[in-house]
Amino acid sequence: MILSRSVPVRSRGFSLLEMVVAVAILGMSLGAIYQAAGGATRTVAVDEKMAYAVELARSLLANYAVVPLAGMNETGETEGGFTWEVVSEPAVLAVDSLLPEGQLQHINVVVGWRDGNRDRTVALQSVVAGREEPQE
Amino acid sequence: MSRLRGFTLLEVMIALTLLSMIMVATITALRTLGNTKTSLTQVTDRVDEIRVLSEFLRNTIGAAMPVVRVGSTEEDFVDGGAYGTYFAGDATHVMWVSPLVAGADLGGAFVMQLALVEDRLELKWHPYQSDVQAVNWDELESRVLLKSVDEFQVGYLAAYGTEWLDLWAGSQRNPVAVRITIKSGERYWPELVIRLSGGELNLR
Repeated sequence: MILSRSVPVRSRGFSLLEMVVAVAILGMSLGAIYQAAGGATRTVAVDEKMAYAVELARSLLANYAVVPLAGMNETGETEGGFTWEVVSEPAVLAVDSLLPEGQLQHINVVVGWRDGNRDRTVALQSVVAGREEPQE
Repeated sequence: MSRLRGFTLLEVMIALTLLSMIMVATITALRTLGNTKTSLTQVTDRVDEIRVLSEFLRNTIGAAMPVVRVGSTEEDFVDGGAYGTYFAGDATHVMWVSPLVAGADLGGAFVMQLALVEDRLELKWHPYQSDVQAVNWDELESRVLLKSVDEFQVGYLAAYGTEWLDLWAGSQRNPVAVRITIKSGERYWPELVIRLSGGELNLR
């Protein structure tokens, strides 16, 4: 009895409620840190795919730097889970243009991939030269 | 007196169990966070390697200059004559001349050779001095661009609309495009197609 009386009210320790609140706050902040790290991982994973897709698109643009005069439309798939589409069509020239029809082509290179449950794409646009098909 | 009785064994055990579970969860979470950093670094390094190497090859091969190389034998050049451009290569080697600024050097035109040696992709370079002086590649130090390469293949395109070739013997023209396929371990390497900016020898 003497002991319990000598303990001042201020130092009586934490109540259960206080502990529960403290642990909950700790848990929530840990969860937030965890989520942030997960977000960073996901961003880097997307970035990796994006880098490959851009490289692939640049390669496709180099591969189709000269296209048939009538335009073209090709699609394909690569290992690594990328799909690509290259579409070109003759640019509309000014009426008094000296260039033959189809000599300039608008080209659109689209590389797509599946990221979890989202579809992502990278597109590059450019103007390339048209070429006459070799005569048979 | 009943307020001072302390904890029962059961209470202490429950408290300890709860505490240890929380500790385990916390430590696991912290370790995962630590591993996350390692794996993030791994992935970014991998991406950087691909980006840097692709960019380097695009820049240097893309800028291949049609400078003259005089062959040692006439068979060296497909379209007759004893000379052609410096660009030559087969499925696992390619040699060309392009401008390069590296380190403290002043830059200028360099003869470069990219080749697969065992499982390493190696680059050798030497200042371009003249059209007759052959480069002694064996004497030059090489720089490893990529390790543990499973497959390295180079293709050459003579003109758009034609088939890719496995061999570009000496010629008076550079190919219009070069295709490089790399396979290294489990990772995916996008196929690299490089368009060359120039050209043809203009000596006739």
